[in-house]
Amino acid sequence: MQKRLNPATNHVDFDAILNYADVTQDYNPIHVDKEFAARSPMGGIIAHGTMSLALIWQALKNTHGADILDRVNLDIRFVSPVRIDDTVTGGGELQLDSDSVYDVWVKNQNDQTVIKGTATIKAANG
Amino acid sequence: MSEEAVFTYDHYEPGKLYGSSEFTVDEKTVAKWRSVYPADNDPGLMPAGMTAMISVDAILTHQSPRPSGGVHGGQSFDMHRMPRIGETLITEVRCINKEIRKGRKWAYSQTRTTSKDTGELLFTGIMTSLVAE
Repeated sequence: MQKRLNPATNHVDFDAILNYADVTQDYNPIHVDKEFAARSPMGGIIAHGTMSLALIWQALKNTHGADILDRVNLDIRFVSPVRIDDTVTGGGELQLDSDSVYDVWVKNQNDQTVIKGTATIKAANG
Repeated sequence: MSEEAVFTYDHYEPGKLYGSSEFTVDEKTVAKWRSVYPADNDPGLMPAGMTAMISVDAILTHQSPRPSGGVHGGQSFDMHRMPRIGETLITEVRCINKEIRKGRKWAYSQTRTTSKDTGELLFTGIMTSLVAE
């Protein structure tokens, strides 16, 4: 099992957030309404957490191919918000002494973790 | 629950099935997804990131309207087979747990997504929500 996942990167501008809201039909004002978001405790627009989660799936696919996606158990926490014009990268490293469990993450351009968790590759017949 | 009633912490009942949603993985939706993620271009295969979209949409359909200020704190997925473009999916929504930790109210909503045609289990998910007051 490859020790380091091939990373996947995405630049999150406001248009991308609006496009994501359109495809998911999630128009929570914290994601799409700049005035509302500015008045909220977040102090401005944040991207949908699941928007960045997609990068972990891409990193797994980039490394092992699409077939492996049928055998993944993914467990993550959203730990920090993603802001407009952040560039986020998803990746991961195989845990020490493991041949099936990756510590996975998404980090922004400042190396701040925004998502972290694990991805376990299940046996092919499991 | 009436349409006006807000779905609060008290409405989460561990073990309760709240309903199911149907979603067809159509070319139009996949094209929209690929406008955000051009790399998700495997022929015939639903982009994996759409699992979250399907799960969250089903939960928000059956456990809503929610008070503003809630947080999507965590998410898990157990994949069995990635859906294919053209396939119709059924997603059940169930509450599996809730708890108060350090004064914060957490709810755990499980989704179970199957193929409408075959009944085959495709993936399950658990959404962890910090419930707003």
